[in-house]
Amino acid sequence: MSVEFERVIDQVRALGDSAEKRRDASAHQLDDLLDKLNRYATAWSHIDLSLEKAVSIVDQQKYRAARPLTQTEPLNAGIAPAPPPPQATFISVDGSQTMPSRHQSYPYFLINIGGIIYERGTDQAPEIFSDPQLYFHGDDEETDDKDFTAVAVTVLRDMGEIELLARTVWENRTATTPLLAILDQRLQYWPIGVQDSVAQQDAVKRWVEAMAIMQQCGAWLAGYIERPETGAIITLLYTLDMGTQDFKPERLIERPQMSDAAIFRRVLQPGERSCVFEIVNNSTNYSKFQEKNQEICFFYYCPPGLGDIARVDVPKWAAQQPEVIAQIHALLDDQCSQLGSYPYILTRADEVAVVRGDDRDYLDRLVQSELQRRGLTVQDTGKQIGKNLTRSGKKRFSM
Amino acid sequence: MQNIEIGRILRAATQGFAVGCRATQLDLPAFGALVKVTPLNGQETIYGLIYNINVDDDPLVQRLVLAESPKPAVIEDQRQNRILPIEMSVIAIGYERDGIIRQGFPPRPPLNLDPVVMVLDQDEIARFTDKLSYLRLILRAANENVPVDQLLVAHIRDVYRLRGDDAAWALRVIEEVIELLRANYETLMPTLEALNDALPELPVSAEMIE
Repeated sequence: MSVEFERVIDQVRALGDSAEKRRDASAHQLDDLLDKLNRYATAWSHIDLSLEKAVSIVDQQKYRAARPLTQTEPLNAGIAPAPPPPQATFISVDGSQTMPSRHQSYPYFLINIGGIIYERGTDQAPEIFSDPQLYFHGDDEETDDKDFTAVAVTVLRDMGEIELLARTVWENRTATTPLLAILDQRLQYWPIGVQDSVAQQDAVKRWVEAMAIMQQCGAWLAGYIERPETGAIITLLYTLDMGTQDFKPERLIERPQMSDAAIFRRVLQPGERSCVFEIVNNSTNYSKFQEKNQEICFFYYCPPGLGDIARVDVPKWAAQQPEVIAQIHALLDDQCSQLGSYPYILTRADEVAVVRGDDRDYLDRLVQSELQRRGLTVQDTGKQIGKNLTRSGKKRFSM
Repeated sequence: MQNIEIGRILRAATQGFAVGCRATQLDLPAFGALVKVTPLNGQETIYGLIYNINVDDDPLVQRLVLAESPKPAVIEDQRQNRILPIEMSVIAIGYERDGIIRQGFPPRPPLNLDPVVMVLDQDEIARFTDKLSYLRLILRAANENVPVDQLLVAHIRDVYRLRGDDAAWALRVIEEVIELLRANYETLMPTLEALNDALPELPVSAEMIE
């Protein structure tokens, strides 16, 4: 243990003080938002008019709200799950990676995408699969240094996930229906950290195309995000203040200080979902989804047991069918009941994909052996050697 | 009967080794069973007895246990897909080199992933168990937390049956056990009682000690 924790204790107490103050400050704000949610729960005309007006008064590149998809489920509804279908096929993937480092003996990184195909209603063991890919500077000069950044690796991983998911759904398109493909991230993908606009558009295009392939197979797709930090519903509620003295237009483009999850923690009972919302996003970032008819809807869900509020993204074309939403809700609830907190299939996909520390070390040794076999000098930097010496733990040797 | 593969070496030492297998392979191996490992690199075959079978858990399994009724597919996922091997602990009791069986610790342990089989071939069992020197190795393992009394009973019962209800052999073994444990009544008496229960057709009793 090298951290002087006795010097951190007071700072930990200060953290606790701050968290308590923030909770007390936000309690009033949360009550206010809940009051709005209840007040406007079925104010359909007001909702439509307010959202229409918001288009003309705020910068649409920054406005991120939501609208209820239908007028049959109030904004403050808590909807219990229906019984799940007796049979279904789940497919899920996840990705993990080693990050490249200039301290390595040779520059490379590994992306491992792993997945699972689970047949509900059978006693068959699920099928697991993985696709590890090693990236290194090729001899054709195509890859260059800019591809070896953490941002680039993350985007490659994301593309690997959605494309393997689409490929697996395609290969299993005749499996037992309903066929539900699940990711542990939002469906409205944006390559965070990528500055180049061409690269941004390319990543989103690939993502949307993969979504479209899954639609063609007749599969449903869901993105499951636990404890989301989005505030689209809060922005909607502030929008609905239009025409009252509470209305503040700057709130419509500010990032809310709390997330929608805080509201739905108070609204939803275990197993329940919220009404279905449609994303309101007129920015150019969202245009690729609209062009390919892959707009996204979502609902909030409270899992049973120990899990936290989750946001479940579903393509609009699926969300528009009430029985599809009911079955997706029921199937996810059934999955969460296995572990009491989080969909079992996502937990397993993560486990299949993860690249652990000893896996990384073993891969490094494989690479070094290969290079040494070819007479190439392999050496970590002095800094890395020092880290290896000091972080490998103490061992006792005896005779 | 033919020998059947039951798993592979996880780790090994001179005095014994650990064998890993999947849950689906657990039908056959049993406590007290005679097993052997024939190293892939051509070294001597090593014989041993299974003295412990361990089924590990991990936090995911612990959480699933709390679920109201884990789905059959989830149970099969745990047993077939997750790398949580069943671990069998084996005590080494002999080895074979150049066609000769020697009952003592092998010169070298086997290596990781060498295949392990359960010895069911009657001739092979007879060849190994005709000599009884290996019983000493079992009894000395009492210091290593091996349940030697139960292990002896299970092993003798097993081999008695596999040798075709060989009463003469069983009685010879029991006499040897009595001789070896003559100074250790605490272990000897419960062992004889357990053998009496396991093999009621044999005349096993405390009178044999006289």
